[in-house]
Amino acid sequence: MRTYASYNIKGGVGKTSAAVNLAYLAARDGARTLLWDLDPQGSATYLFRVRPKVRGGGRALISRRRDLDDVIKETDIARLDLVPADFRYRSMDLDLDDRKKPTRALRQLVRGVDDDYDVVILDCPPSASLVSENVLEAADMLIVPLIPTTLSVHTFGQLREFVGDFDGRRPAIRAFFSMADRRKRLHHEVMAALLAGIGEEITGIVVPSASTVEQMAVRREPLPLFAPNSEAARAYEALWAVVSAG
Amino acid sequence: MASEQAGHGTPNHRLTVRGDDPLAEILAALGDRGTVEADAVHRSRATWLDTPDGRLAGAGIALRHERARGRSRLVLTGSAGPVDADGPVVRWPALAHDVLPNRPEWAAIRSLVHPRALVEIASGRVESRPVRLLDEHRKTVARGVLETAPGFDGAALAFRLAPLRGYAAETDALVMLLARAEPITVRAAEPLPGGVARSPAARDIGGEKDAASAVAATLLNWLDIIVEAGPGVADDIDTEFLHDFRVAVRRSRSMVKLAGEVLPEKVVASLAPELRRLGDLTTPTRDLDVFLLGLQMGDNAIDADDPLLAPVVTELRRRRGVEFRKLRRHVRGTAYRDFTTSWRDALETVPATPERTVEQLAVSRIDRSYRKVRKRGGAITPKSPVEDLHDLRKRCKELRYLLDAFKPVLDPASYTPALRGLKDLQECLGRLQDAHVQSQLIHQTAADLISDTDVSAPTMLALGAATTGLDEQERAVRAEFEQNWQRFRRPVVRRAMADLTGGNATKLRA
Repeated sequence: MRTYASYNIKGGVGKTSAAVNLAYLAARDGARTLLWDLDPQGSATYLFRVRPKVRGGGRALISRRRDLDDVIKETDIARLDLVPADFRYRSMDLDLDDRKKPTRALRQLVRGVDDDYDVVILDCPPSASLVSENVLEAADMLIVPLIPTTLSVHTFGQLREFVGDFDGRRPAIRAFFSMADRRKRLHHEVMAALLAGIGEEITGIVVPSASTVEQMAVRREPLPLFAPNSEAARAYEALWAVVSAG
Repeated sequence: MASEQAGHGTPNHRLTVRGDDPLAEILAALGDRGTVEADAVHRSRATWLDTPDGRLAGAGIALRHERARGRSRLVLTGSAGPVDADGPVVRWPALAHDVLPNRPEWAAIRSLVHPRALVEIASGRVESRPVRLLDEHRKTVARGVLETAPGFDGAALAFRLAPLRGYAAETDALVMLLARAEPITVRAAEPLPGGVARSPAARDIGGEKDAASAVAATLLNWLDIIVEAGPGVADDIDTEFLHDFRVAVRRSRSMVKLAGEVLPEKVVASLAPELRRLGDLTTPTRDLDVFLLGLQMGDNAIDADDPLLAPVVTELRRRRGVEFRKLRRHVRGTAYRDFTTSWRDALETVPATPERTVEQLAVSRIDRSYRKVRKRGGAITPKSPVEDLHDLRKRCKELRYLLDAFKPVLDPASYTPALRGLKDLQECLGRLQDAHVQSQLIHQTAADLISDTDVSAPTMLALGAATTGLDEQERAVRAEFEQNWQRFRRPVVRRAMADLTGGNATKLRA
């Protein structure tokens, strides 16, 4: 089983779109896939038409009163299951803090289902918190959407530092450009600078800012399912090819 | 959205929907709480199958053989399904053992129907459509299939559903909603376009007051079985037809022998010999059937897969064919047909014997039969010839037939322990008889094959080993006799038999 986390400290950068589309592509390619919507906002859960409710909330899972296996929901996509979001996840930091080894809870929960799945994708809330440390411990790879702006680059630096300083497992980082607008010169300049300066952590894949991506929330379906030939869908295909290759 | 996967599995909901447009009925029943989306229709020709005695229907299972676009498959639905497998291209009837897949998920069904054949109970067209049951948010909560067999009287649409993982409760709620609609029924069994013809209900001798009427009613019940099994015997559909036929013949013979005095003498004299003839004709085929079935199930002392013994098995099959053809000629002949007609006519017009009740007859005949069993069994020693044990077995069978026949007028509190004690003894004697017959068969076959120059020396050696094995098996069963006899002589069995045979009127039902 391989675990990926769609993660960024910054919000509104396309984490959920990436998590949903990559989960779909993994399942489409034959992998038994589990997507865990860790964001209390529950956007991924909404996209799959699943009720954003986990019996006992995050506390029941963190305290091991309930196994992850008990709360999994099968989506309408073959081989793709979901652990729904719950608004009570907003207090997950506090729940984790009550544990003896507070950074390992998510990893232990995910390992409890490793016989059932080939791929697990975590859709993370934007933060650098105890939940984020759990994500670093649980994930083999962080998939980081980057809007090619100056502030976003600054946040990416913070993220690399956060991972580098983490006293535990350090997942690989693979960033891609998200919501890129080709008409903006700044976006072109930032992408060029990052590609030249950081190396393999930046994949060079560009998911454009496009209305088809926004349509996901209207149609409540992964993008490759309803617009497989769109530029954005092809970009997610390329991203999945890169990250699934290691 | 994609819908290629099956539902998460159990529990499966099975519903039937009646009406001209079942899908519309389902949608109407769901209202705004959900909907159903159906994919393209898949059409096939189907033959519904069951054993001649309806074992599958009895277990709430439906089995059909589907053919479409050059492919055929067996589909099992109902309480055991759905399970399907690529099916054989065969003509029905066919032996279940030969056509059902030898795979774990079919093992229970193979065991249920063994050793019977599968016969066609209906045929027609099947239309099936994969469906998804969606909740009010258009989230799929269950997957399934809508299936119908148009053209059959009262055909219903079968609607099978398996909830998606995490959606059992939501599916239950929608199924409950569906079940409230008048044309929809939640049921375990699949709707079938037909069914196995049931035998007429047996005549209840408890309602008869006089001995002659009761004996005639019992013999008529067994005649029904003989007549019903006859065509299956003649067509050699499976070995159970002959088994049922033969048991009914033997029971009839025993009843005529033990209680025939209450019937008109002329009837017994003219028709009873045909029962004996039928018994004699069925013996060789049945003995060979038992041996060959044992080989099939690996129950015999000889190894069916030993290639050196293949000539022996072939020879036994050939002999079975010869004996069976003799039997078939008879069962298809006029003498047999005339007998069944005359026997029925005679039994239906037997004069009543108001001076003698069925209870009186039961007590005296069971008493006499039990005395014989005790006398013969008590005389058996380790040195007694096997013929003595065979004779005891026959007397036990007679007692058993009497207990079974007169059960409606016997006190259950005594009948049950008496029967249990007798069954254990019969089981031991039956195994001894089977081992002896099989040993004799192999000895005889070996003797015949010795004169056949084509039989190799290794085969003869293997035959020698096989006969030794069968002889040892016979000796081992023989050694168990004493223990079983003592079990039959236990106080609880003796008391029960005494109650049944002591003329104690309070132990008999009024």
